[in-house]
Amino acid sequence: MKPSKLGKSVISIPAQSLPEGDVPGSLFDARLLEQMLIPDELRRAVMLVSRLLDEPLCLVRPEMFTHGASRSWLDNKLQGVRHHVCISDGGAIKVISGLNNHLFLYGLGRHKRHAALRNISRWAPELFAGLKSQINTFHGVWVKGRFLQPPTQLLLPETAVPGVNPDFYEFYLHRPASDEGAKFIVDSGEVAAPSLAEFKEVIYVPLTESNALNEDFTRLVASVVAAAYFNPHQVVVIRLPNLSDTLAGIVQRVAVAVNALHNADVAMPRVPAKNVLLASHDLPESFFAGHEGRVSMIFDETFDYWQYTKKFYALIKTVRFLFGGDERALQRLVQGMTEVFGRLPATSGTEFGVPPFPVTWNRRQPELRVRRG
Amino acid sequence: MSKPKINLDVGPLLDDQWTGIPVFTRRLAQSLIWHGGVDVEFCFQLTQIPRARVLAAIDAGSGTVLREDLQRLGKSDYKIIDKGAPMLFPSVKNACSIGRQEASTVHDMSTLVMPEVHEDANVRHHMEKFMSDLEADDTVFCVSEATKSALELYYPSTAAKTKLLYQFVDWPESFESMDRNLPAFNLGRYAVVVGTLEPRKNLGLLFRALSTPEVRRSGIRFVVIGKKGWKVEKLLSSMQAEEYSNLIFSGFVSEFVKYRLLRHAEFLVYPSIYEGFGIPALEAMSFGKPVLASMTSSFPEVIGDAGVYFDPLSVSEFAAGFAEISNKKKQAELAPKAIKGAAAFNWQRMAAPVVEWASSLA
Repeated sequence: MKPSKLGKSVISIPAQSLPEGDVPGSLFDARLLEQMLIPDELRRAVMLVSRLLDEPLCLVRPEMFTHGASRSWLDNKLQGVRHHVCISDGGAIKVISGLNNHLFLYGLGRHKRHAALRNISRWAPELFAGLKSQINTFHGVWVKGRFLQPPTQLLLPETAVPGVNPDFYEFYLHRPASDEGAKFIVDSGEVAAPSLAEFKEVIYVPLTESNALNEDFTRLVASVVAAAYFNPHQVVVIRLPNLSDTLAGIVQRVAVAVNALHNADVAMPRVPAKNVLLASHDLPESFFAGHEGRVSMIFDETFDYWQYTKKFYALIKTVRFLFGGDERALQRLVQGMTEVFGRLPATSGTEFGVPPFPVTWNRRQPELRVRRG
Repeated sequence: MSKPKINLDVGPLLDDQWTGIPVFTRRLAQSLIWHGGVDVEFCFQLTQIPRARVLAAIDAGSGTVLREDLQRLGKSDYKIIDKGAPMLFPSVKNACSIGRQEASTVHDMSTLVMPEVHEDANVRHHMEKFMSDLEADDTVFCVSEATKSALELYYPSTAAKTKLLYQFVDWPESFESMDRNLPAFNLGRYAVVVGTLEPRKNLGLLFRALSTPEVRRSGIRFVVIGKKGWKVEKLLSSMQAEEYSNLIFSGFVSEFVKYRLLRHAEFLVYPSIYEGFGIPALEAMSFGKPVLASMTSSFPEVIGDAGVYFDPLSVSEFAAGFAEISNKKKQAELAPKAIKGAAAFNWQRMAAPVVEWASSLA
């Protein structure tokens, strides 16, 4: 699963993410993206993928160049290029015939995108047969009774990616079925960032719009939140989901989180929780510096886990990954995540049930030993 | 020996205003009648529609009458289709697989490869049954090599059963004399843009190009023909009043008005990001009008050497192409190529693969 350098390559990105009128043409030096106003999550993806590539070019709409003169035009510009990395938000997956196509998915936390990817998997599963690899994902599809899962390459940053300082709000299940409850939380004002040294355990949950709609995920998180009410030595930080509606403000994001936990049907006190906090942005690695051994994480496939380094995950106490895909994809996922987290899963060697179920990687498990030579 | 029989689903002809796929369906129906190599029964889903009614709708250029007939179905003497005859769909299927053999027609792959330019409901409508429809097809007709290549790229298993089905341009004979008897347009120098206003048509590029020196100094105006579609409100509202002065939005126009506007234009501007075929290009070419076209998908295949091409995401390339094609000498040079290119797509060529398919099944 180690990433291999792809050399001179072309990437494609969702065209609608580019600022209209700010693009020099269909094909340009991918380094120009650094100067363009593009979403942060896409910028992170491009920066990460660029590590595999030499002199990357960016092709805005590969679908324009299917055959004949338009394809000859493209081929003429892509001389020496043998690989194409499709950086996709799940809305569409582009492949270019004659090149080795690799897929990098990002931002699947938006429900609409995750749903779109599931649709593509149903509507055009054969396209996955044309993929040389997928980067950081373990996606598999059924094609005419055969399970097809392009090989995975793992690619995480070598150094921590700087982030922004999030705003924090106290969680409170106040009138949860309406936006009013969310407004109450926001109107109560921001609170200080938690001092991690004061807690024996820190549980970080990057909530996404997609997993907020997943009952199994929200039940797991709600039970953790409910337990935290009775354990002052524990702090739970829930990263608020980014929403498909780009105009959505903080109140709507809080509403999605609160309603998701309310709908999980887990009883919890109706008082503000001093030790359950909602964070406006992803917590950067630096936030956990020095405390990693006390940090646990809960996430699923819709979280861009690849924004953190392997070094970071190696220090994390426990990771619970809610696996909800096809059982056939599990083995590759466990293998990949084991490599990312640097340890074997707690349930290794045992039979899993029917998805979804959490797979846990504990710090107490023996370190994964890599045989050399 | 009797002729092979087919059922042709004319569902697209039920629209009031015929553009795109309804016009394709109309041409397919006519080309098969003119060819005479197959016995065509018309139908909508599982109901036979009398040939006389279809021909009446074709004469009227609208499907209103056909639709009203179907709505009064309980009182009519319509019959069910001959289940034994192969079924041909001119677009996505609108009926379950009941025919002995079936063929559908793929116009483009845009709902799969660029869903962001469509309404979600349209994407679902096209994609939800697409794969199972392909699997049930004996043959899949594609309207261009570009569409065929794209289909085979995303559905490799269809490669063995894809066939080309090129359409053609025809104008009613009466248009020429009607046009001659009407006063000329008072538009000065102008070019035409044809197509429903929607993101795939890439009008944003044209709007940005209006401020380039090549376009500003040319004195050429742009007549944009087509009804307002979807996802263009932001684009249209962002336009400055001064930009509008070079643009004339006609909205949906009749075939005759389109005929006149194209016939008297200097050239066609076709900035689309992606098209399955691009019939407006052939329509313009049939009058000897060259096309300033995007270097994309089916355009080089359809327009050939009657066009000047540009990168559809480059304003500077558009401006350079515009400067070239707005030169009268260049237009005169491209005119015969346009006429020859348009003539290469004719009704015989459209009917042939269908007749061949039907004969192979007989």
